[in-house]
Amino acid sequence: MATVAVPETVTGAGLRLGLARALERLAQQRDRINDLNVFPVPDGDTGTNMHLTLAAALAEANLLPAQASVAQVAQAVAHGSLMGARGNSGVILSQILRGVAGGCATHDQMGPEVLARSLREGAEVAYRAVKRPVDGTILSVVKDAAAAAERAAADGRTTAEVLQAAVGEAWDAVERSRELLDVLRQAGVVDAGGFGLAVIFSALVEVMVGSDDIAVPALSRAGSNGARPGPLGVLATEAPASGFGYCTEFSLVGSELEPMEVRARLGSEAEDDSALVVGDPGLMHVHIHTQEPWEVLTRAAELGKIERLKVEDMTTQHHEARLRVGAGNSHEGRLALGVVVVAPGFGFHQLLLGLGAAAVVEGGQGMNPSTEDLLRGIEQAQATQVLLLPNNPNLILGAEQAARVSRHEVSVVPSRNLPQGIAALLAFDPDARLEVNRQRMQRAMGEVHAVEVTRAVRASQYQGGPIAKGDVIAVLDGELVAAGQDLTEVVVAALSRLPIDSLEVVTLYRGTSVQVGDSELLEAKIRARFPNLEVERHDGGQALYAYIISAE
Amino acid sequence: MAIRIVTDSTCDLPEDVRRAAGVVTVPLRLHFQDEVFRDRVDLTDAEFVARLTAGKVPPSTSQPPPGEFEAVYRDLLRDPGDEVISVHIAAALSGTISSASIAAGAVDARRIHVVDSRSVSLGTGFLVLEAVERAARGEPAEQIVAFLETMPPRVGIIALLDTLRFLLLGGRIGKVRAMLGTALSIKPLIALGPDGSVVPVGRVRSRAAGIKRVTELLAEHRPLARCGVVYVGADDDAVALAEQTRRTYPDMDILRQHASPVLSTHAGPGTLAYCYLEASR
Repeated sequence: MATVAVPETVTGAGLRLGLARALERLAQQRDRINDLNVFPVPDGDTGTNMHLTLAAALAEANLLPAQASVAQVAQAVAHGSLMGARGNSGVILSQILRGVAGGCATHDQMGPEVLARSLREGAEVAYRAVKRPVDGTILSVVKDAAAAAERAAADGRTTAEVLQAAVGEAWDAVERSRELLDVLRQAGVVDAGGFGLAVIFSALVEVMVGSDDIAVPALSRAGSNGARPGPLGVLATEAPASGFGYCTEFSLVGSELEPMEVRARLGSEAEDDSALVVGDPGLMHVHIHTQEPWEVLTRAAELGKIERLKVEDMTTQHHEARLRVGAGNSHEGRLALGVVVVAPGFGFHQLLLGLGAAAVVEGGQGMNPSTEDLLRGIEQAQATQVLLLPNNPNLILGAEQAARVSRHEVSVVPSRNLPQGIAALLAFDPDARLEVNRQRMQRAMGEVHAVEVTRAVRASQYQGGPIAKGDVIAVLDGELVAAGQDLTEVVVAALSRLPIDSLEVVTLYRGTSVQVGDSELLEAKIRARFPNLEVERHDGGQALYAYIISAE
Repeated sequence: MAIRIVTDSTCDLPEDVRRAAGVVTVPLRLHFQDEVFRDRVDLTDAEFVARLTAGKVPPSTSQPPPGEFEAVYRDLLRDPGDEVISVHIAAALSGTISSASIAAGAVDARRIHVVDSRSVSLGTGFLVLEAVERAARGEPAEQIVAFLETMPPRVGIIALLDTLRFLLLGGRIGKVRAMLGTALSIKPLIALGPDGSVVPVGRVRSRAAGIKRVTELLAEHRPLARCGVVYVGADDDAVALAEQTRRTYPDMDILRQHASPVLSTHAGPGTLAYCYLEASR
């Protein structure tokens, strides 16, 4: 590159060139800035917003004649950004530009002092625009940059040196934002808006001193810390170590899809859970908590090359303790109100804790927990008041017994099966009073049907005919409604007894005696037979019962 | 000398109501990748739902730029005695209040009263209606604003969403995040907290159960002064719900409105909500 003399001042044309370069640089950094966006709302659009706001600003400046003064250009930029401001960061940027325009209002060009004063006014107008200014954001970046510019101007530096001082300080302020805002520290990112502003400042220097490498060293610092910034980056830290199942992490290389599309292709867990899919089409990082990592990986392999795969069984860490504090309320100290649920099988335990149960007590048909087990569960919940879900008609009395002897206030919601218990737990609202909850939970229980499928332990009779020992039998809401040798047929026969037209969702909880493949076949059969129903499959992990099925 | 009422496109009041009262509505912005739409100006509710359902990447939303508020305010404040009451979506949910406040400061802060409804949709709309009625009765602006400030604790929204996905994508999930920990697919029931941010109030697995539950939850807020049904693309359910509500409150004018595209973006298709104003005690 030919050496070009560094201009002594910023002219109208110079400002326009600088902002045009800034627009280019913002376009290049847009996705990265979007990914940094966790404050104030983690909606991942800061880069886009700043880019479009600056584009609107520049479009207005470009209507001016080439020889327009710096004041005219700044004024047009301020007005354009005001009309085109998009999002929070765009609005604040428009206020900075408005202040800058005020600072150079009567000048043909900006020398060191005018430049410093303009930045100062930009900072002041922006601060005034925000009701509760927060340090560690774009506001501190513009403020610190302005202060550095003023110091440099007072030291008699050139315009370019003043601008360089401002840029250097802007990047330092960006780096400091990581420590100033808790939400940024947790997500391991710097402030998105501040980063965007520093990109803009850097571009101005770049044009003024004719160098194009100024932004580079600073940019490389932004995503450091081994963090996974992303539009949902804050989730990675805020979400409790819940999910259980498998923590599945990998890089996806060479996919042609956007992260959002990949997320959609990886299955429901990638979309609804605390999953992260971040990066660029060429290289993205995936972090999903899933019950079935093999499913996720199979789908991912169709989209690109999987690298740096790590699958951790989150279950084993918790498995030894049958009584656990629910992940949904990883509380410190006591809960005001908690739900304790009796359930068999590890799948159910995970599910119930994920739904916010304060503790789960192992137990089910043929292995009812003792009063002592229930009392231990109630203690483990660490709640002042407890709602207890027995999930078995034979355990309701035992639960009431435990409620009486417990030193805590315990109220039994008499759920007779797991589908009822889950429906009741779904209706639980930790912020409502115990009595309100009890009523809501009881009502919710009445809205779900349960089909329990097991094998007959002895020969007997039912209205449909004789039952041989070992036959599959299905109990619908406590009543034996179907029997036979074929598991699938018996399940479908039992479901046929339901008022299908008023139902929407059937959930299959598979017992330990059933292979995954068989439950998939059953799902397909049910879908074919009842095309209007949604069907979900989960691993209940219960013994004795091949399936526990809810229909609602 | 006149008092003019300004609101934004998320208030969901029927257009004829707003027009009859001379309410000026400033549109929020919707961005489908590189396309920008003014909420309810450049895109009808139906066109929007079609796009939302068809598109892979959901749109993003943004507050109106301050410049647009400035233009509206300047236009309304022609005579020295004119005043503006500007009632908007909760600051906890949108930067609209911030844009309006910046513009008010630039135009004439003494004559422009910006009110945070701490709600959204008809929740904001009920404040707008109140302001319109009081202004028509000739109440001074300061008195109207003082009354509006007392309303948010009586205003509420109870909504059944089809999925948490849209709240999560839009970054407005707030305390509803606690519902994410489950492998079961659930339909969340949400309300707005005191500042207007989203809070969870329940979860169901079927739509029928959810519709029943929102009605039960609404009954906990009786007696009501106003009530409306807001929905996203779930016309039949909304009609049924409004009909049922009319039977419960035969003397009340039950509004039924499709949610604005901006709100729909964050709630998602299938959303069904009650907005209500409790009677004052």
